[in-house]
Amino acid sequence: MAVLRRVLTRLGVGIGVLWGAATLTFLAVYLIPGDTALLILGGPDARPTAETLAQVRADYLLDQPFIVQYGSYLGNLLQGDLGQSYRLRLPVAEAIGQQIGATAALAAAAVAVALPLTFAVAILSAQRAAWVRSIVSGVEVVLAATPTFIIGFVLLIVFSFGLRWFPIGGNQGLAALVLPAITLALAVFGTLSQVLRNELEDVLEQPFILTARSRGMRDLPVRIRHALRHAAIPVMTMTGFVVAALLGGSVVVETLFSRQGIGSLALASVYNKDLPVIIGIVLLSAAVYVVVNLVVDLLYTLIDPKVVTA
Amino acid sequence: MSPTALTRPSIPAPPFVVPPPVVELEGLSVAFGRGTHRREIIHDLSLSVRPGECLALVGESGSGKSVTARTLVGLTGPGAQVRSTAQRFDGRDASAWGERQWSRIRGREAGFILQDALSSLDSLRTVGDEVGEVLRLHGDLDRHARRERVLELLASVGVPDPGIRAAQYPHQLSGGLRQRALIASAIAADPAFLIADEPTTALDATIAAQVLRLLGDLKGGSTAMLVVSHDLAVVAGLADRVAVMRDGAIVEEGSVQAVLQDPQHPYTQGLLAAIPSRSSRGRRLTVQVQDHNQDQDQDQGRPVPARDFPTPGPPALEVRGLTRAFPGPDGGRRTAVDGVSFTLHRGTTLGIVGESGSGKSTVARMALGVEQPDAGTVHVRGRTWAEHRASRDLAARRSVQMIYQDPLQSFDPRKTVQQVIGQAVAAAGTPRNARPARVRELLHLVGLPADKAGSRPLELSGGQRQRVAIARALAAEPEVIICDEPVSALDITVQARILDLLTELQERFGLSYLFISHDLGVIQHVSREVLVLKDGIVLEHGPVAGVFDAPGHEYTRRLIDAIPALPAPRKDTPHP
Repeated sequence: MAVLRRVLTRLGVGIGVLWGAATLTFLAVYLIPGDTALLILGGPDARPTAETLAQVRADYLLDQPFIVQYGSYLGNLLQGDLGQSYRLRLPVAEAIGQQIGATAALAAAAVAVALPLTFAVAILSAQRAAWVRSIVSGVEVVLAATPTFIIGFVLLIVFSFGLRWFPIGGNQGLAALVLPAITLALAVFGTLSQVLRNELEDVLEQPFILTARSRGMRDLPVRIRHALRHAAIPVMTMTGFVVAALLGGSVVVETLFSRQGIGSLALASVYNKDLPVIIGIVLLSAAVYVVVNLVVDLLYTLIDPKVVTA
Repeated sequence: MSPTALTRPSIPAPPFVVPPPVVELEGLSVAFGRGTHRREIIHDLSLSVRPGECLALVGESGSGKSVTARTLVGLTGPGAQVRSTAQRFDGRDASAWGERQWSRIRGREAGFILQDALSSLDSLRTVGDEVGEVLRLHGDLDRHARRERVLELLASVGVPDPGIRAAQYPHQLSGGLRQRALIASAIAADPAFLIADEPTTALDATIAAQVLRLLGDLKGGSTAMLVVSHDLAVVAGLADRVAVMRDGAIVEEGSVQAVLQDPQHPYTQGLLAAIPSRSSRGRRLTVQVQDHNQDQDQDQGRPVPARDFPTPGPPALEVRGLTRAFPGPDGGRRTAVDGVSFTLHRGTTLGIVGESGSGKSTVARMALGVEQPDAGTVHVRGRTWAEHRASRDLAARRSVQMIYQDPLQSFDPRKTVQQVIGQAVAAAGTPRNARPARVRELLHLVGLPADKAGSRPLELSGGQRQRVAIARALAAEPEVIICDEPVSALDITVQARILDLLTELQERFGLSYLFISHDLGVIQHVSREVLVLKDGIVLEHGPVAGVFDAPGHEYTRRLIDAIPALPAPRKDTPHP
């Protein structure tokens, strides 16, 4: 019962967040200087007639007061209508839908690399000899501090141009996914692993760890069965960081490896001032945040029996 | 300086009856750190425990007793350099054992009970899983049989409704039940050797007594037991032999009777003399020991004059019908203090006794005037706190001071001792040019060397910090000092010095103490009157002798019964 109430509360908050994101992007678009009608018709180069401009203004309610425009925008959103892409001449939902598969595959592959790597490195290096820790920690700091596109470049130069193990770019096949996914994963790994190891080292000092060892449990099982759950709870609060890194990183990685996906769609839309698509992508990102945080919240209740109240 | 060990033969028995020791340790030395940071903390220590025997390792914090106990099962800790001339476990040579061999011994042949079961049990796993872990690691029982065995174990250590308890998490159990569950997990595989490291330290007195009884039951049979404790009284009821540790070495070892009744080593004698009790009333607790601590009092066993306060002075603090309720977890209000009344007379000490949650700290805060009662009054200098507040009477405010269990939390860690006390001196209205001299005077009063003035709280020992707290309280020249568990976190000999200091200051300045403690020995030593608090209600109130000799309430009787008894010293009372 408590869990259900918790879910409903969080869902309500999530809807609020989506509404806020929609309003903020609408405001931003409304306030941006420039003639929206001109943009819709293809920019100043299109040289539309005054009549066409007026026609477009009337169609898109651009001659109406703010509140009417906002109301119709929200109304359309509620019906799931994100509008038409100016550039692609497609409904926004369709434009995003075409690209989302590729980005989802990239993000999933990156997570599939990053999480096991983080857990393995943190579990094996926590409370080890000073030199082990400083080497591992040094690598992590370098990875966390290096911009994604530099990591990507290095990987490209070594494994595509040099060793020729993987294709330079594109969306064809699994081989093309490897380098982009690793690039994205490394950007997440550095920070996560640092945090997880620090948490593990705190937990390994706790008396219950000594109790577990006094029962005859070996070192590695103690780390995995006892310490990891405790250390994972604070690390789960880093999920927001991970999602941000994946979304932001996908823009860079997709461009760098000339992949299709939401990231490259976002970039192209920004170049062409394709506002409906930009709004759609912002709302999608917000929705992803809301859903992920809801899932994390439920995971808390599963991992920590003391979390019961919302 | 290396203290010499005084070893005595234990109870003589024919060699063919005596089974070989379960654990044996000879010439153990343990060091931590490397190079210039290397510090040897155990020096040339030997001990052994036979089946059916209980050895107690007694010592103050830093004496190395826990490290020794952990070394016996190969858990000395990361970075420890352990050396010994011989280490045997159940007759096998264990001196070269690594993690693999020890992990087969731990749990199956050696059980380990740590203090404070809340942090010693994994808070994210059910009690049943924790207890069953030993069986999972060492036994060949299937899941179902394991569960049966866990329930049997919980029942055997006196956990009611084991079926329900096994499915709960440690934080859902009371302190006593948690400790029992921890014991169940240690004995799950029926080990031949059991270590209990401060098994009762975090528990209330009545609960501690129950846990001690349980450990006593386990001792019967062939189990060898090692109990580690700072408390000689705890050990007296449980152990057969005692080894007194100091600075990483055993200074005295022998049967409980011999060591406690006729201690040979001056350190043991000092430890025993430092235990506050009824019989220690009116005398100093500190005797001169060849001590390395610089804040050691030199006055040896000097009787304290005029201790039993025949004539109480005028009232210094009058409390009438104090009542205070707090919002409860279920949305209702929980009454923490209910109609508490007492009078604290000038120059005397009133002891308040109660277990955790009895409302003693709430009473203290209301007496100090920092917490408003829902009903009732506190009179200081003839007027209530509310009236003093209305007339902005700062002198009344200063006349009641407080010292806490952990003074560290009441100090700004960045301020020096000079600044901490100086602030209180300034608040007391001392003119600026007289302040440094006043700080020096206060430091001298509490027995702190003047060169400690530049130290920061973290650089001081527990006893020194409490002295700084006392000096800060004295700065305002108070009439009343509320002492909330002022010695509970201190080692026994340090506790003795602080109690002696408080007594001395009381005589000198005619101070009145409201003395809160869970330790009945301390209360009997310091108080003229005592007040027993339970669930916010005063159960008993009267002179110490009256309350303790003829308790009028069942709860008081249980509290008194829970005081672990020390055998009386042989020289005073001849034993049959």
